[in-house]
Amino acid sequence: MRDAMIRIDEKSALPIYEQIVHRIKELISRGMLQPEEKMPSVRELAARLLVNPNTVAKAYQELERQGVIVSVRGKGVFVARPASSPGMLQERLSRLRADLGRLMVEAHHLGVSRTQIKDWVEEEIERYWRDGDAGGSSSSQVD
Amino acid sequence: MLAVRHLHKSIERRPVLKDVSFELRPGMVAGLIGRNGAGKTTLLKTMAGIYDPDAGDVLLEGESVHRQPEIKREIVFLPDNPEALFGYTAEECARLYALIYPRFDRAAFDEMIRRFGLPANRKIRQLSRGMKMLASISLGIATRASYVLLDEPTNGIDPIAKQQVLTLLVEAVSEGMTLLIASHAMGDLERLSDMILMIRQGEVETREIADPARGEAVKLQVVFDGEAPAAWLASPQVIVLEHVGRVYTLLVSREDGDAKLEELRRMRPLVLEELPLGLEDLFVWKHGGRNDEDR
Repeated sequence: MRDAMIRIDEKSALPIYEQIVHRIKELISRGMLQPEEKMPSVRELAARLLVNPNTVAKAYQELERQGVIVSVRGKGVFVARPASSPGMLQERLSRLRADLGRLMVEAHHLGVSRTQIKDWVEEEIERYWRDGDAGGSSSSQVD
Repeated sequence: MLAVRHLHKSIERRPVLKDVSFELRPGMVAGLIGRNGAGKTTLLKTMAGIYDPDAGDVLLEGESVHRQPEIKREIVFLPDNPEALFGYTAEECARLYALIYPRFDRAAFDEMIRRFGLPANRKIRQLSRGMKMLASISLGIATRASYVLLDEPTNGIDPIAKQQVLTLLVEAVSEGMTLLIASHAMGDLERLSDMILMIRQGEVETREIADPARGEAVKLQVVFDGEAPAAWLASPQVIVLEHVGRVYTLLVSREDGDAKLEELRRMRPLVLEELPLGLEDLFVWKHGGRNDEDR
């Protein structure tokens, strides 16, 4: 079961709702959740993760705000098509670029070598771009 | 809303609750934490109308639990050991509860005991500790009362029973029930709660789970350059949580400003890293380190 792959790490610095947001995005990136696929309901996911349903609802609200999932009244919650919210997409892309910058500063500060950081980035690329293309549609790529 | 207003309660002339006030909003989960003997059970029993307060009141939608006993049907107390049920079978308990609680959901109760394999025709006394707790919580949830007050629901039960208990609690919240859970299992409370009530020296403080320390303290990992500064470490704003080799894990209070943190930065430690401050840290900090006694 795919949603069983969301795990809560009690030692994480991230609040539980952010962990859920992050893990769902990761499952989508890795193709384990496909666009337009039905998501577990708040109630189901809360029962599987054994976390407060209010926390899961908060994570879903955030995912919906970011255009990652869409809720259809009476039908449930679905994985969004990648370009369904272009404005939000731009915001997320620029935030992602800034995050990458911060990670590089941190890595440089810790004395990580140029080859090491390249290897790590390459490792992650191998994980998510196996077919040589991004998981989303062409509109999700930066010009 | 369930409102606790200026509650005072003494047990054997010892004041246990001193002017306790807070509110539970519908649909929320509140965790109640405090040292053994701090008054958690007394608070729950007074809220449920089992104890009468010496002063103050508990109001459900504005109506007093202590003056209108029928309101008690909306507030269920589940003790850490359900001794009152010991002489009955689960079947008998269900019939008894159906007489007391008008919305008692027999079908839901039967489904829960079937799911957990609880024997319907053995006396509760004969069940394992985990099974006793599951029977008690299943009954409590099947009442469909608006508020369920639980005293250490996961204490002393095996990991599988504990998961089953947590599943029941999460399902109850999905049904719209409001829970108040007294527990020492900080990890469980972090997963389940929206809000934390901390009881200490008869008083109750309220904190949001997302930010329990409200920036009033920071947790740090520190490695000093050279010898550790004994005087700084001994200052009242600093609590040493752990000290392994050269690595110190510290809580530094910011209630009197950031002077202590400034002093630390000026010492130029080799490592100075902020860690997430969890519920357990809050607990230790508020109880003044690990050697403090309540009462």
